Amino acid sequence: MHSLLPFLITGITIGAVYGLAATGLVLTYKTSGIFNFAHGSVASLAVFAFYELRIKQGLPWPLAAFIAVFVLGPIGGLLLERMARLLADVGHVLKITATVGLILVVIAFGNIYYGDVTELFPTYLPIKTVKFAGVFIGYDQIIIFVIAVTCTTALAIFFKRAPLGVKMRGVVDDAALLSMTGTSPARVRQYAWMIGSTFACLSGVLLAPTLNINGTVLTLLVVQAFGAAAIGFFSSLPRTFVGGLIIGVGGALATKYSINYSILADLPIGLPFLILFVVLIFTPRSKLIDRRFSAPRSLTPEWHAPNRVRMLVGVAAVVVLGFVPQFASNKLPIYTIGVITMILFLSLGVLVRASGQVSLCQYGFAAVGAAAMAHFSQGAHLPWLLALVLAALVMIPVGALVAIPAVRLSGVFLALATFGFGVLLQSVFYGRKFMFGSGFNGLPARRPHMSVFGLDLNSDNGFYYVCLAVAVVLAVVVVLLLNGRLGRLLRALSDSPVALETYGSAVTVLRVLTFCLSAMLAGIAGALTVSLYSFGTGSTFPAFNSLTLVALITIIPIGLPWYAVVGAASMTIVPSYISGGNVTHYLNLLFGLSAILAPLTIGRHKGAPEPIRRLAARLDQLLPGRRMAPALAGAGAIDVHAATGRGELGTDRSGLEVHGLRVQYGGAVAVTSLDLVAPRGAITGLIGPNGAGKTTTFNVCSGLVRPTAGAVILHGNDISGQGVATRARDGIGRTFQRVELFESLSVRENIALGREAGMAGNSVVRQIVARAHERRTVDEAVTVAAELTGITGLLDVRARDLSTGQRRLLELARALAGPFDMLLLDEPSSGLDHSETRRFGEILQRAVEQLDVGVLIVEHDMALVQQICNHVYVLDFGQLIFEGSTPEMLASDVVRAAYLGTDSAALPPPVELDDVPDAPLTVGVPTDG
Amino acid sequence: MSDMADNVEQASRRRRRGRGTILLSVGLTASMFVAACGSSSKSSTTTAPPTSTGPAVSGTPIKIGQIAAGDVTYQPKSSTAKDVLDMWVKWTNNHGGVAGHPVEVVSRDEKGDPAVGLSAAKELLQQEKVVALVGNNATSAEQAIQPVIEAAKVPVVGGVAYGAAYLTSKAFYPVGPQITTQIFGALYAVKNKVNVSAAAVLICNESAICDGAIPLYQKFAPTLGMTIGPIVKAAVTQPNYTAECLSIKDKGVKAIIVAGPPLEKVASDCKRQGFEPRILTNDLFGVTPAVAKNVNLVSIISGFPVFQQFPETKAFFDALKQYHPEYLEGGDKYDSFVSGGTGGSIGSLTWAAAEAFKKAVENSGAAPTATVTSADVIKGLSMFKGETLGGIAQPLTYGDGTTPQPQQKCFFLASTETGKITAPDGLKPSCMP
Repeated sequence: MHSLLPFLITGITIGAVYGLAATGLVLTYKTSGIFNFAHGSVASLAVFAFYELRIKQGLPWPLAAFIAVFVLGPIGGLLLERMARLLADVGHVLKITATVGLILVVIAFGNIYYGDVTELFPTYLPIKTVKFAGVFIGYDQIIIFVIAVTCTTALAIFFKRAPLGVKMRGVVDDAALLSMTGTSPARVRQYAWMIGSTFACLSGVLLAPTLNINGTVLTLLVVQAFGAAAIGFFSSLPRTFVGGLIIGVGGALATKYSINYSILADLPIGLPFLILFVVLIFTPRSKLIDRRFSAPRSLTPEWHAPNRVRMLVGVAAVVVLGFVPQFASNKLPIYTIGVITMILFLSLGVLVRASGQVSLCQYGFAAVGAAAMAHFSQGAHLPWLLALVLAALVMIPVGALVAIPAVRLSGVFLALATFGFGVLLQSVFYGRKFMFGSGFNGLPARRPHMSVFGLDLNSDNGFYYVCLAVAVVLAVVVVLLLNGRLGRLLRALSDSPVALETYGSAVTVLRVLTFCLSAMLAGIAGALTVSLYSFGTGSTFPAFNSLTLVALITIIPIGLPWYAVVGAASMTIVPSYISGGNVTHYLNLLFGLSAILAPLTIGRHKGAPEPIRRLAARLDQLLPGRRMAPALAGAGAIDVHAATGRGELGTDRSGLEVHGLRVQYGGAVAVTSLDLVAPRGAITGLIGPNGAGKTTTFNVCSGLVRPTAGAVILHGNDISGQGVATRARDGIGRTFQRVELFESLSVRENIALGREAGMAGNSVVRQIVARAHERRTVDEAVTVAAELTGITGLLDVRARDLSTGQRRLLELARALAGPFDMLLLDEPSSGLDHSETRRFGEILQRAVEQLDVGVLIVEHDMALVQQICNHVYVLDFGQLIFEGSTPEMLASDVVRAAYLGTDSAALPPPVELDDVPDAPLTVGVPTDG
Repeated sequence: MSDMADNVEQASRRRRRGRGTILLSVGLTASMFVAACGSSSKSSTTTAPPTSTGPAVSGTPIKIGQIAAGDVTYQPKSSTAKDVLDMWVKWTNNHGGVAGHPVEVVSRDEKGDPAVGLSAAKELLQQEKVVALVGNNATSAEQAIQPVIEAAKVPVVGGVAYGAAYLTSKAFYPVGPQITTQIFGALYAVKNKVNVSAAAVLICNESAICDGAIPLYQKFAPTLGMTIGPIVKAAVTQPNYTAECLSIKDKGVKAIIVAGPPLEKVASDCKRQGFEPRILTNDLFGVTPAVAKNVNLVSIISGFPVFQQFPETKAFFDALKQYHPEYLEGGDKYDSFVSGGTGGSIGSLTWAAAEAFKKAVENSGAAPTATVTSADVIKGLSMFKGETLGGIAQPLTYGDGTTPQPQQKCFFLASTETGKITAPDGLKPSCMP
C-alpha cells in the first residue's frame, strides 16, 4: 500500500482538476441540453488571457489570474448562453457542429496569435514540497486540490439548497413551469453558463503551468474530463467530480503497473478515452437522458435537381476533374488528396446528412484502412486492387465494433463515443506495431504497378486518375444507394426513429449498416492516401481533423454528392493557392465561425440556393427526351387485400389481447391488472381521464415499454417477448399522441414507408435493395391508403407543410398502408374540428370494413367514440373501471364519476348524440365536483 | 390560418438564410484578403546575389532548394531552417560564392503535410530545376518525396536527418548522425559521461519513431555493457510525469533517457519526489538556458554547438551577427534556436548541410563558367571520406550515389553540468565503434 500512495496522491491532484472541468461541463449540459465539446477551448481562452496579461503585459499573477477566471469566465458564459439559445430548437447535429466550430475557432486563434510561443507556461503557485506519509506533495498540488474540491462542493450545495440552484434544477425539468413562477428560464440558464464557463477557465488556469500555450493541448486535456462526465452519467455533479478523481488515479496507477507489463504501456495515455467509450456503452440507456430532445431538423436537402440534369452535371464534373493533370502541374498531389478527401466527405455524409448520426472519428477509420492497405499491399505483396478491396472489407468489422455498442446511443452521446474512439485510436493504437509498424517513418505502401491504356498508374498522373476513378465509382454507388430504399429508410430514420421502428424496420440494423458503410468509405480514403505517399503513419490521420470534416459538412448548403466536392476543395485545394502565413488557420477560423452560425443559415435546407434551382429546371427543359412523371397506379384495378398483403397474416380473428397487464415505474403504478380484447374487424375504444394509463398500455402493446407483469397476445400468439420492429412485422401498427411523421418527406413518401419499412425488416440486404415486385406493392398500398383517407391530392406536399387535420389523416394513411391487421390509434382526432372528426370516424369505419383490420383507439372525443366504437374500456388511475358497449358506458355512473367527480347528484344528465353542438364536446381534465 | 403563419415563417427564414449566405461570402472574401495581405512573410524566397563586399562572384548561378516545416499545426511555428539557409546564401555570395558561382535558394514550407511537401518537391525539381535540396527539415514529407527525388536523381544534402529516408535512400545525404547513431549516442553518453550502466527510457508514444526507437535502445545497450529499463511511454502533453518518475525511481535507476516528453517538466516533477536522475536527451530538445540552470543533463547533438563559439564555426556566428542577431545569445529567439522545434541543432545542421553542398561542388571541379548539375554534386559528395568541412562536422563518408549512405557514426555532445550549456569535448566528435 505504501508504494501505491504516491501514485494515489499524484492521481488525485490531477484528477481533481479533471473533476473541476467536468463539473462545469455537466452543469451547462444539464441546464441547456447543449454538450459543450468546446469546454476545453474555453479553458484555452483563459490560458491565452492569463499568458497575455501576465507575460506580455507584465501584470502580477493574482490579478492576471483573477481577470482570466472571474472576468473572462462570466463573459464567456454569457456569450455561450446566447449561442445555446440559438441552438435550442435545432437538431442535435447542428448543436454538435456548433460546439465543434467553437473548438476550431479557438485553436485557429491560438495558432495565429500564439503559434510561435515555445516555452512552457511559467509556474506561479509555490512549488515547495512537504513530505506526507513518505510522499512529496507540492504546495501547488495541495492548493489546486483544495480549490477544486471546494468549488465543486460549493456548487453541489448551491444546486441543492440555494434558491438559484433550485431554479436551475427546475429549468432542467420543466422550463415552462419554472417561468410560471415568475423566474425567467433564460436568466437562470445564463447563471448556469456563467458558472460552468468560470469553472472551465479556472481549470485552464490551474492546469496552465503544466502545458504549452497551445489551444489544442488544452482542448484535448479537457476531453479527458469527458470521461469523468460520463462516469457521472452527465447528470450528477458529485459523481462527476469523483469520476475525475477516478480518471486521474487510474492513469497514475496504470503508469505504475505498465512498467512491469509492457503490453499495458499505452494504457495510461488512452485510459480517459477508454473510460469514456466503455461507460457510454455500458450505461443503461435510461440513465443517459438526452436533454431537451427536440424534433431534429433533417439536413438532407429536400430538393434534388431532376435526374437527367444531375447526370449531366456529374459528367461535366468528371470531365473537368479529368483535366486537372493538365493544369495542376506540381500541385497534382494536392489535387489527388482533394479527390481522396471527397471520398472522406462522402463517408461522413452517409452518416451525418443521410441519417442524422454524427461521427467524430472518420480520420480514425481512414487510419485503420490505411494501415490495412499498407500491410496488404506491401507487407503481404498482394496485387494493389486486391489489397484495396481487402482493406475495405477489414473496415466492416471495425465499423461494427464502433456501431454495435454505440448504436443505442443517440445524438450527442453517439458523437461523444465516436470522438472517444477516435482519440483512443490515435493515442493508443497509431503507435502500435500491428497498425503502422515499427519503422521510423511508418509502414511502406505502394501504388499500383501496372499500365492501363498506356498510362502508368504508378506515376503521379496515373495515380491521380486511379483516385478519381475510385471517387467517381463510390460517388455513384452512394447516390444510387441513397436514392433507393436505403436512402428512404435513412431519411425516415433521421426524422423519427421511433416511427420507423414501429413500422417494422429494425433501426439497429440500419444504423450499424450505415456505420459500416461509412467506415468502409473512410477506410478506402485512407488506403488511397498511403498509396499516394508510399508510406503510412499515424500522423497523417490526426483525430482532430475529424472535427473539421464535421464542421464543413454541415455548413455546405448543397446536396449529395456536390458537398463532397466543395468540402474537399475548401479543405485541401483552396489553401494551396493562397500564399502567406497562417492561411490554414484563417480558413479554420472561417469554417469554425460558419459552423457556429450555421443554425441561422441552414433553415429549411432546400438543397441549393434559388438561382441554382432555377438553372437546373431550365436545363431540364432544354434536354431532349421525355421527362418522367411519377406513375400512379389506377385505383380501381387494385385488389385491396393483395395490395396490403393482409390476407397473408393469418385468419385468426381474435385480434389483440392483453392479460393481467401491470406497469410500474419505481413507486408509481401506471397500469394494473388490465385485461383487454380488441378483435379484428371492430373498433374498440380505450378511454379515461388524462394520466389513466392509456398511452402506457399502447406502448406496452407495441413494445416500446416493458411491462412489470402481464402478457400481450396477437392472434393467439404471445408476443410479449418481441421487439418493436418484430411486432410491427407481425401485424401491429400504431399512431402517436404527438404525431410522429417523417417531416422532411412528402406525403407519398411517408405513406410508402408505412409499407416499405416492414419489407426492410431486419435483413441487411433488404435494407439496401428492394425486390422487384415490392415497388409495385408499395405504390399500390400508397394509392389505396391515400384514397381511403382522401388525401390523394396532397401526395406531393411536404409533411411538415400540412395542416393539423391533414397530418392526422396522413398518419392514419401511413398506418393503413402497412401490412397491419391491428391498429393502435392514440388520440387521432386531437386537434381536429368537429366536421373533421366526423369525417375521420367515417374513414376509419370504411377502412376497417375494407381492409378487415382491428382498431384499438384512445380517444377523448366522446362524439367520435359514440360514432365508431363497438366496445369500450374505461381506465382510471391505471385500473379498468368499466367495460361494455358505448351506450352502456355513457350511462354508467362509475364512468361519469371518474370524469366529473364523485358527487353524482350534481351531475348533468347523460349526453345524447343529437344534442351534440357544433363545437366538439371533449371530456378533458377531471375537475373537482 | 396556420398556412399563413407557415408562409410568414418560411419568408423570414429565407431572409435569414439569405443574410447568412451573404455573411458567409463576405466572411470568406474578407478572410482571404486578410490572409493574402495580412501576412508579411511569404513562403518562398528567391535570394539573388547582393552587391558583394568580397571578390566578385560572376560564375553561372546555382539554384538550390529547401523544404522545411515552418507552420505545422499543433506545433510552434519555426523559420529557423529557412532563415539559416538564407543567411548562408547571402554570406556565401559575399565571400566568393560556391566555387565562384553565385547561389540562389528557393525555400518551401511543407506545413507538416506530405501532400504539400510532395507538391513542393515537384515544384522545386520540375519548375525551379534546383540542382540539390539543401538543409531540409521535412520529416513529414520525406518518405513521400523519396520516389520523386530518386527518379529525378537530385541529391538531398543534410538538414535534420531523423527520418528513415536518410538510412534507406540513395539520394539522401545526412550531414550528421542518422537516428540509429543518435540512439546509440544517447547510450554512449550515459556510459561515458554519466558513468552509469543502467538507464531508463521515457519515450513518446505519438508517432512511429517513438515505437521504432525502443528495439534500437534494446539492441545497442548490451554492446556498451549496459542495461536498459524500465521503458516507460508517456504523452508529450501530459500534465505531469510524477507517476513516471516514481515508477523509475522505484526501480533504482539513476539515469533517464528522455525522448519526447518535455525535459523541464520531467526533471522538475522528478525533483519534487526527491529524485534527481541524470537526464539524457537528443539535440537539447526543450533545453533552454533557464532549464540548463536547473537540470544537470547530457545531450548528444547532431550539429556543431550553437551555444558556444569555436574558431572553426566563426563564419556561422559572424553571419548570425550580420543577418539574424535575434538567434544569438541575448536575442529574443535564442531560446528556441538552442532548444526548439525538432531539436536545437536545426540551425547548425542547416549551415553544415550548405557547407557540405559547397564542398561537393568544389570537389567536382566544375569551372565557374560551367553549369553545375546534380550529377556534379553527387560526384563531389562521393568524394567525402571522413570529411569534416573544416572542423564543423563530424567525419562524413558517403557512397557513390547508387546505394543508401552508410551510417554516419559520429556525434557531438553537450552538457549542462556547469549550469550553462557547454560542449564538454568541444568540436571533437564521439563515435560508434
